[in-house]
This record gives sequence, C-alpha cells and structure tokens, in this order.
Amino acid sequence: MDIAVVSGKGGTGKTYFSTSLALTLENAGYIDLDVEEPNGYIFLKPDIKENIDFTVPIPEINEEQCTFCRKCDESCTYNAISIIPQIKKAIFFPELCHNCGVCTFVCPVEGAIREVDKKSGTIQKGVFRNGYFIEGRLNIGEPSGVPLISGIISKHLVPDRINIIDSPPGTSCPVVESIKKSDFVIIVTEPTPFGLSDMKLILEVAKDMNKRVGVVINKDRGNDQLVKDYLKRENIPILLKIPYSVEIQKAYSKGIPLIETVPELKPKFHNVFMDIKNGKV
Amino acid sequence: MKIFLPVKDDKGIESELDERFARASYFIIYDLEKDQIVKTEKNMFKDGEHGVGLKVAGFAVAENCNLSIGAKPGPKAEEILYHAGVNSYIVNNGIVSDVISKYKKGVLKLK
Repeated sequence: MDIAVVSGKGGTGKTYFSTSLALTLENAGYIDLDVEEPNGYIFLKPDIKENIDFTVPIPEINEEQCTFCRKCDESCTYNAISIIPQIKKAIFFPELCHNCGVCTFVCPVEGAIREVDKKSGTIQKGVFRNGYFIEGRLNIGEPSGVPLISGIISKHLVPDRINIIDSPPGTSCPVVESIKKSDFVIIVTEPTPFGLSDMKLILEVAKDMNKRVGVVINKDRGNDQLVKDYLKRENIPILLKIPYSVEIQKAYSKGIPLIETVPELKPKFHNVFMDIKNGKV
Repeated sequence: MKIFLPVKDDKGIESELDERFARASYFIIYDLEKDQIVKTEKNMFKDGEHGVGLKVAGFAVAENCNLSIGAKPGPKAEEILYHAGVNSYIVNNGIVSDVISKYKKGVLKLK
C-alpha cells in the first residue's frame, strides 16, 4: 500500500509528518521523492547501504555522419537540438532534453545519433529504526525530477509493504508522478490563507486523478477556522491536527521526529493509518 | 551583408526594436548592399515554451544574416550565432532606420 504525502504549499510539514508516520508503523518504507531537496534523512537518520547512480538517456550526435537533414530538430518538442545545415553544425542543449528518444528514432542515418547515459541523480537505499529508507536526489541543474521519481517508484519500492511517499511541494509534473500509483493521498496544510489556497490546488489535482484524500493540519492553534470550514463544506476528512507549540518547533529545528517530541501523538498517527487502511476515510 | 533585427511592430524602417531577442513580435532582415528591408517575418516561435532563442537564432542563420542588431540574445541563441559567425550588436531601443544609420557610421559597439 502506497500513501503519498503532498501539500501544494511548501514548508507545511510534509516531511515532518511523513517521517513520524513511517516511525509509527512497523516495517514501512519511507520514500523521499522530494528529489530537489530531500531532507527526511534529518529526522530518520538512516543507515545507508546502497548508493545507486541514476541515469537518463541523451542523444550524442556524430557530426561526421550527420547529413543535417533537420529531422531530429523538427521532431523535438523541447527544442533541445539545433541543426544548422548552413554551417554543418548540430548543437544539443542537454538542459532542454526530456530523454524521450524521438531524435534517435527519426534519424534516417545509421550512426548519426546514438543514445548515451547521463547521470542525473542518485538513489540512496538503507534502513532506519523500524523500516526501510529510499531517497532520490536530483543533480543540480537537471530540468526535471520526473524520470528519477518514476524510476524509484517503478523499480525500487518493496511490494506488499506500506510505503510512505514524501512528495515534492507544488502541483506540477513531479508531484503528479509521485502520487500516480498511490492508494491514498495525505495533504499536509497549515491554517493560513496561503495553506488553504495551495491546498485547494492540490485537492483539484488529486480529484482529477481519482485519489482518496485526507488532510493533516499542521501548526494548528485551535481557533483558526479557515481551513476547517472549507474542509467541512467540501466533506473532506481531517486526519490529524498537529498543535502549534514552541516545544515542537524547537525540537523540529534539532531534527527530532514529532512522535519523539510528543509521544502521545503516536496512537493518533496509528489511527490515521488504520482509518486509511480500513477505508474509513 | 544582411542584418537581423528583432522588432516590436511591422512598420518598415520605422519599426521599433524589441527589448527581447527571441520573443520579439517581428524580425526584420535588412540588406546593406541594397540599403533596404528585404524581409519582414512574424515571429512564429514566440509562444514556444522552451528553446525559443535557438529557433530564432537558427532562423537568422538560415536567412544568411551576418549580423544581429537589437536585444541581447540569450545564452543558447548566442551559442548558435557564435558557431555561425553572426556577431550581435546590443541595442535596447530605437527604430530600425536610426540603428542602421548608426551602424553605418560605426558608432554601435559590439556586445
């Protein structure tokens, strides 16, 4: 069972929540797919066993063989190849390439284009106290985290386990990719107009993808009705409220997981999972 | 000798230079020997998401332009212009007739 943790707005507490959820369950996987800045390791302090290079295919053009017919240039949706027959030059811009392979496919000349592997990130695998840990880390300057995210989901998750997927913020392609195969989507929000606004956006995404959803309100001060009123109106379940407190914030800044700071929350985390598992939400 | 000029409007030599190279509205190609505009083209790449500059630079090269006068090309466009031996004079505003006469007087500076 895969549970994705998303937020829309950044900094609402996806990682803070998901690491504690992973620590609550036995033998669950914590999968950090916030590949542009994975930081779940700060809370889980995993023992890393494997470092795997992640590569994507990019074209390599041989100007000796190339006839400068421009077929690849015209076929590339992302304008990653410029063929200039006037000066017999083929220029490739790796930062625009989406690794689709269409250039190699349409090239009529044997040996003019071949695909080569380019390292675009690293996958770390290991264990933490009561579960297994996977982290994707994209190289700086890479145009998209999508290949790395889909690569981890399709090849590295242990099947038949509970996988807590810590997704990237926002509502764009990497988020969509990280929740695509999930059975449930947990939205972590904060009770501010910004939290509400971005939560609405991610709710739309989840609805379009026909996902079951529930909301966790972080930094809850009890008297803030903005997000709660909206969820009530839309009939969306609140799974958990994490109180706002200086104690929690202090411990957070030291990398101490929430359920260690507030052990009383552990049964509540467990209930969140049971409700999801038993289809109560 | 042909000069490539990214411009805002289609008003012949009165056209105003665009602040942007790749996403200018029109391109004017000025032939120095004939001393006139030989082509005005609407920018068909304008609304592309990525890599617009290199398409525009490719267009300038395909039209055998030797020089670009106007907004600064982006790094990718510049790479293509460099390989094709097309120099760019960076001019951020003015109308075509003015910059052409400045070029002829040799008062424009490269880069």
